[in-house]
Amino acid sequence: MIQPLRRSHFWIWIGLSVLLPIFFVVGVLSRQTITPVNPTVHWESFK
Amino acid sequence: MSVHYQAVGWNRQKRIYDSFLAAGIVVYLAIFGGMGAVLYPTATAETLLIRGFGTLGLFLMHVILCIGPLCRLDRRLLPLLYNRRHLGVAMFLVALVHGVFSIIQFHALGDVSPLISLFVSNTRYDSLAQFPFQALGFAALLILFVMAATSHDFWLHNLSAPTWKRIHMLVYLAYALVVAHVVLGALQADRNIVLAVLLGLGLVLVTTLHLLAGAKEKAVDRAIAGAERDGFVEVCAMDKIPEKRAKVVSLHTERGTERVAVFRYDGRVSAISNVCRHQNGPLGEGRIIDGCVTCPWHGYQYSPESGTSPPPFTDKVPTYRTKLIGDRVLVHPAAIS
Repeated sequence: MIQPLRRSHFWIWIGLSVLLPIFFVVGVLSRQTITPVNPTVHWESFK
Repeated sequence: MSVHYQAVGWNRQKRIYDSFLAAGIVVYLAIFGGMGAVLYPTATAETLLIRGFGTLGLFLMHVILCIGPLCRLDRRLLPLLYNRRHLGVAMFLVALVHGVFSIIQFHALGDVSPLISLFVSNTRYDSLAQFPFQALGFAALLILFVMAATSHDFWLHNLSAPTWKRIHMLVYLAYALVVAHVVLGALQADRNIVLAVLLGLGLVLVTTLHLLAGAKEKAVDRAIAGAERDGFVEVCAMDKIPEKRAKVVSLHTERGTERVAVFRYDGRVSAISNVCRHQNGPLGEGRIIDGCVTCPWHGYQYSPESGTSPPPFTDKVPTYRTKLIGDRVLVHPAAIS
């Protein structure tokens, strides 16, 4: 009765366990350097 | 197993659970806000709120996704399932606050509608580092809304358990969207390695638990009960079934492979479908309480002989004929009803 659901559940996680780690690693590696904080500017003084 | 519709059916246990949940959310936000103000003095209160609610929603989503497989792997954790829907609705509300604050913060001050701005202000779909990640979070939020809105037993009964479960399996798509939202959003903008490490660990934990639980379930499905005798299928020796507990077996029935729960109690055996009528919970992992098979998920009850719920309830699960030859338990794979 619920075997088809169990089967699709199983295959969804097979797919996610392959795709998500790849996506995570690619996403982290694609990070670019951002403009460093200027230590002479004190933003809290503008609050 | 309700005989009439009740809008809200909170009991004392659920009230205590919700109180602890609400307190936990407040404590998390207070600690996050306090530490954020110290570590990032330039961050505004709005930014800290967006980050606080965002990280809390992400954490809750991982907890929720771990509960299901953990319960499959160790039945002692089954009580965690009882209030999982409350946790899910709380997670949606937390994510909603994160989303609303973000839209106000980043899209409300322009000359176009904030919701339109969300989709048209950044169209760098060709760039990983500058991908419009907010749209991914919005899509995940829509899915979580559908799930939260249909979380009540009213929808479960009206949609039927299999349809309801199909809808709620969309949480896996929502999870993938949330991971993409964080990887392409917060992780791109923030040099802090903590979020990346935590997300990576969470991802590994969730996928590993689901794969382990899936493999365990597959093994049960593959272990079709033994040899046939006069149409009956041999299951196991009587003493292999603990008193007032069940052994779950897979049988080839006229409707395909079905799991059947064979209960032993008071020197007798009975076989009923392993699938609870409420939310398709595993009846065979429950036990006999007050003479009734009790589902381990939400406590729905059925007679082990007739499969019917005790009056005034009217639910019924299919039953199967059983036979004892010596100490061997046999079950006929044709459901009686």
